[in-house]
Amino acid sequence: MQHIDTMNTERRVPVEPDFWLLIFGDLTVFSVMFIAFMLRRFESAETHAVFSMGAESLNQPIGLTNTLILLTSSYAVVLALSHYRSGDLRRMIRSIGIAIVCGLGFVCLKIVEYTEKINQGITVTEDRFFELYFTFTGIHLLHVVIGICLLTTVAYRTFVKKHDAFSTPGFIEGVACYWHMIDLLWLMLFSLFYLLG
Amino acid sequence: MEYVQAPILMSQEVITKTYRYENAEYAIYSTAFMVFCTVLGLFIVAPMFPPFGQASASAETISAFYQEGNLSKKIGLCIMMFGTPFIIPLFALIGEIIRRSMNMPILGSVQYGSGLFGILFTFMMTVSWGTAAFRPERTPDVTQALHDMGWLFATWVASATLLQAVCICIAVFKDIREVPVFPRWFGYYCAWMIVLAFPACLINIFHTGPFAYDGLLGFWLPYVALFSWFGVSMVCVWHAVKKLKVA
Amino acid sequence: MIVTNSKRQYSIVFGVLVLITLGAASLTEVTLLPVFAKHGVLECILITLAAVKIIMIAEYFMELHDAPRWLRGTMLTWVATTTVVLVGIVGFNSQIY
Repeated sequence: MQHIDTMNTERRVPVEPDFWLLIFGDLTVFSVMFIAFMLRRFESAETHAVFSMGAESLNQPIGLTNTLILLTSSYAVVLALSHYRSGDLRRMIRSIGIAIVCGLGFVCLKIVEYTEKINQGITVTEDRFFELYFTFTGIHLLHVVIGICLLTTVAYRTFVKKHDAFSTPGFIEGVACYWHMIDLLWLMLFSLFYLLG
Repeated sequence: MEYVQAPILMSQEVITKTYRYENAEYAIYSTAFMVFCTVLGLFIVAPMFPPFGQASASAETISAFYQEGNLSKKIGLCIMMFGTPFIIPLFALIGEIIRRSMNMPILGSVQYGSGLFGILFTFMMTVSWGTAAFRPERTPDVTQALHDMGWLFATWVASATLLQAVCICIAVFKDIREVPVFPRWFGYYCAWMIVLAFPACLINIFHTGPFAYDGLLGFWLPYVALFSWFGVSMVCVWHAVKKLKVA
Repeated sequence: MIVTNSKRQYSIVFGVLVLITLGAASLTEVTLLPVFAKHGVLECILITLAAVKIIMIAEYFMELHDAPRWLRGTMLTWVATTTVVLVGIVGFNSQIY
């Protein structure tokens, strides 16, 4: 792991080269999902109408709030990383705390949204739009939960000053990058599900 | 005392390091045999894979699927049944490398145990389809039920794969020595497998669409990931064994 | 040493991201230009805005702006391919519906 911090080159690979296998693997899966969404949307005039009606019935303000929440948490993680690099561990933990709170807020709003839909009698098997809506956002929600767990691990290990494989600069950078990836995927999901109506 | 002890300890270390992984290549040959049996049995002789449009097909279609080429389906499933357990040596070898060489005994055992659990799923899949092919003239509903059950067994192997991938992932990331046993991209590959295992768990909800058991995220991506994982882990274990023999 | 961005740069990027998000959300409310919605132009604009935000996050938050060329290239290729395919599907089909 030592080679990561001492790499004294101008052009530097964030985290480590191997890490990007995970990121690009994940991005590929999601882009396949986006394209599947688009193809199903334009399958026939009927599906197009179903998708338009589905997007209309979604709670737009909650979606927009969720996007802003995720952007804020990404910003907090970026600040945490720069505090970590300047050795200011206390402010770093505070910034990660903000990011975790934002992530939990995202999860809560998503649960509110799901229960709202389920109370209206709309479930996974309702129609083609909600099938994709629940599964895609559900998979994304699982990513968010994993991300929150990883951020909590980082904050805890930094707080108790425990030194092992999960408190190295490389791991912390990796968690930050993973969190940005979650944010980035939500931006596309938000545009596809909420805005295209 | 020290003069006597040191050489003994050293020779012991040499013995353990040299002989523990002797003939370990056979585990990899055995995995290659298992992949060969799977491809021959399931893809060529009994074309169970890939399941084009079967999740939404009627019971009569599924029954007709079993009636045509019934004998070749039976033979193909027989080959698959015979080949399934030959992946156990690979899991045992990975478990041994994690347990002894990387010094993480519990992770190694959990990896091995979940691997065996996954083989049980694959075997039950073969049994379900074998039963469906056994009496093709019976009521179509029963054949369809057995066929669906086989697919649930086949894809819900994700539950075992998930735990196994988590174990390998943690073991690879905790290994921060100068020369790690497994390359770090192997850990990230396993993390990607974990991500892919989620959508595959949803196949019992959908009859159509990308999440059905013949869909993009229910079949194609998880199985491409699974079969490439066999190849990737064979290569990584091969290099790890080479490294451990020299060390 | 790691070349870090200044906090000011991060703040600017964050502000721009929020502005683009709010702008994209308000675009859907505007009914002044019904021609846009008809031919799928609005949808293409929304997808492109999302792609722009993704590139900004990748470049500045994921610190790809001083990464080696292969890494930046792969990321930009991914974003470009996905966007082009999505916009292409919209453009190809919007004449029909």
